[in-house]
Amino acid sequence: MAPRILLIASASAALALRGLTVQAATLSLDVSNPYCRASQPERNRCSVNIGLASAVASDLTFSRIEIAIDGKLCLVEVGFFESSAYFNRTMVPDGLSVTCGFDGQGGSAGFGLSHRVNTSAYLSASAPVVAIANVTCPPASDHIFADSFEPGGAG
Amino acid sequence: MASFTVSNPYCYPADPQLDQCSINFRFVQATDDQSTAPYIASLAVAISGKKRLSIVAFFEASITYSYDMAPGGMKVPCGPPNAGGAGAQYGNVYSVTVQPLDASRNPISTDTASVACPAYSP
Repeated sequence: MAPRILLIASASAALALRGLTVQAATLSLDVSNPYCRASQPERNRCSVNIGLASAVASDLTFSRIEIAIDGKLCLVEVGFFESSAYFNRTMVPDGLSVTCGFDGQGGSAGFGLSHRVNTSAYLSASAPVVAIANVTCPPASDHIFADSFEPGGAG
Repeated sequence: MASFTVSNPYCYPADPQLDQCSINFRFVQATDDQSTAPYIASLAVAISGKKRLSIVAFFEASITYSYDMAPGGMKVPCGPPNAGGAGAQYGNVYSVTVQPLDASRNPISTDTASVACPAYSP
């Protein structure tokens, strides 16, 4: 079996090597259940994750899925001589770290900050298909202690 | 080698407080029909030429790797913006090689993916 090497933005090169004709490709993106959980609320750390994301193209010009939070790139998943990519929450077990924010900081009582989660799917040479979700996190603990413990109740 | 599939390599920040990313694959599968030598004995993953993972075929004709076999993935430095030349949003770009090996650890096949990690920009 001949070695296969995929370089950045090499999908068109791969197609040329395989003698295929590049035609207008279609691309679909499904995103399900983005969520935020308080992973370390005493440290104002939450984690964003996505239940499921899938990007399916009609040909091998498929390039990648990217997830960005508040404009900052957080995950790159590449198609390796494939026309699709699939993501589920267990692929990033601890999620993607964000700031929880304090109660009401995002404008809703009982919640913390909202984060903009962009999931983008790319063909090798076209504008991405983008799914944008605003995900609101639980608030950080009211009192933050270096030892992670909060004072107990009546005792 | 009857079939060899590498699917969806990916990279993400394992700890955003540190310059530490994690590379993983959705899955890798290598199946040997065992009709002709050399026969598959193991599968190795290397990042930038350094071996990071090895899976053995134990009286088997196939090896399957799934991302949840290494839940934390393989740690690498994310790198500063544009460290690998892929753009300001990206840091280092890694050459990730997957090879089914025979009993003498010679590669039967080779797949090499170029995986860009998000930049570390605190």
